[in-house]
Amino acid sequence: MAGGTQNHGRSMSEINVTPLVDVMLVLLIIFMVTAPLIQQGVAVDLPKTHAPSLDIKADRVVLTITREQKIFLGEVEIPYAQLRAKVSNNIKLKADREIYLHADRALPYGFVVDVMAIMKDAGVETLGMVTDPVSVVKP
Amino acid sequence: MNFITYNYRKLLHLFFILALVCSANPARAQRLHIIVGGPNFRPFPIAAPKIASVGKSSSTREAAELTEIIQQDVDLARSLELVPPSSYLVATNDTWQNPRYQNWVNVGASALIRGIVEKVGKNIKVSLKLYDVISQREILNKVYQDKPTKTAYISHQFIDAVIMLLTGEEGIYSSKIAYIKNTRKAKALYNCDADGRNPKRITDSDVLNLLPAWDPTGRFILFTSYLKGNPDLYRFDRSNNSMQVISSQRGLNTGAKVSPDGKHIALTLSIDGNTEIYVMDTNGKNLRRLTDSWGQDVSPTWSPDGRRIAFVSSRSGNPHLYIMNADGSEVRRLTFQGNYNQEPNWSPRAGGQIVFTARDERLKFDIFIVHPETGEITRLTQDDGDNESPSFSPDGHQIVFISTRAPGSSRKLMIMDADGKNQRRVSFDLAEYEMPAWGPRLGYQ
Repeated sequence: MAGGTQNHGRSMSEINVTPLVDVMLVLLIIFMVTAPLIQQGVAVDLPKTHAPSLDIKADRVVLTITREQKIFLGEVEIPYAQLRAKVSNNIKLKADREIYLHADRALPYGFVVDVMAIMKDAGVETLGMVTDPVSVVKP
Repeated sequence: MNFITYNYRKLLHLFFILALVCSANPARAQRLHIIVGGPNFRPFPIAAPKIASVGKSSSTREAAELTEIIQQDVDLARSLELVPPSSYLVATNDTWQNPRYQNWVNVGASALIRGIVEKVGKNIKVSLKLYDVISQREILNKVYQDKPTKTAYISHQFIDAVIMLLTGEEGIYSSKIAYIKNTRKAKALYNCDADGRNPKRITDSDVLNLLPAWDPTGRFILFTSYLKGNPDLYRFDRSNNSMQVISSQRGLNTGAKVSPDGKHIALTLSIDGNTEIYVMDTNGKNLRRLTDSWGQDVSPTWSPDGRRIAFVSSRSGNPHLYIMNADGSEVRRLTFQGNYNQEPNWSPRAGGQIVFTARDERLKFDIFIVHPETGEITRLTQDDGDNESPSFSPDGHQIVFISTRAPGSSRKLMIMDADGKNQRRVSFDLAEYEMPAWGPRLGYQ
């Protein structure tokens, strides 16, 4: 085979991208969806918006975070400590790459971003923020 | 935007009509057949959570065994994909009778296997169900009663029933694999289940045995043995565990393969010094010579219709694959690439391809597949130790082979899909394995 030793002795010339990957939320696409179509279990006090929003797709996974910082995937509560392990092998998240975030309006921003980062690592690229429409302006 | 919305509505309307038409057709509504190996084929994702132990006397050990074997059987089957158990979202109100379907949809499953096991006297009673989690209903319900040691057979039967329901094709779990295992004193003939379980030694003598092959009924295993000093062809009868000499010509009596109709044996003999391919009746009578060249002619394998035989010949210098009619006429060279092609095995599927071993320029052995008409070659293994001795599963969807990939670099039994995907080990002891032959479906025992 030609060039069998081509990788030896070459200096590292690429930019180290690891710190950039850490700023992962930059790559997360976020949009807003209306709440009334959410059928799955847990009740939370949603943020209220006037912003235009999209209709929800019924087959997507809904991630709920309550005011007490309890996390639910669908209707099943997952302790925060187990969340990463639980979603890292989820083949639906990897296939859909989309999830709906259904979180209480009173939650600390830092906690929500933390959960979003875990979802991003599990393969989610698009995140629908579920909101309560005050008066929805249809596009 | 309005234009897009309008078209989207129209599309939705069309889908609605389509859905109505489909559900009006009962056969269509009943289930979705997946065509294994088709252009849009994707394995069917199935979740298989823990089997529950119920009743007064404990059957937790059997429940754990069943869980493990069912998950492995789903994982190994070509048409199925195991949804990773670590991702399961099990709700407290999710029960055997009443699954919370959305939680299974949320982990990517299209179907769910549920089961309970209980002790009934000395036996175990295992109830297994398959649910379609999309349409939210039970689509298969089986109850098995057997000895507590038979957990593998119960799982194999159920998963084959699942495969039949979803694909309309028979599964592989009633078949066995024959192989040679190196013991301290001998190379002994063994067989095991399609998933590597239940290994059983067949030859007890401390001699060299090699090249096993099944007859289409699964009753006989042909193999070559040095039992009397000369490499003679023997036949092991599984119905009464007896051994019989089929061919004991001077020199080699090896590489025997029974024709698909079960009436003839093709094999390699070296009666006059040079190895040539012969054909005879299954009782060893009516011997006819098929090849006549100065080179070595070895390793015959029958086409699925029994009308042709592929084999290895060194008549052009290096070992290459050739094809001839079953009467020895119309010999044509099949492979031109490489300089060391050997061990052909013809797929049992109609129009199937021929898998073989080739040595590449780095002197590494790897597995390739060649189309018998076009001669187009596809590589199945690469950069993972030596890979040798491929043999097709009875459905032609998978291939058992030997690999020296890590750990330990010793020869292990592996199974891959016929397109080279999902290569996985099925032998886990320290022994060296050689020459696997995947047999026909035998029933569960």
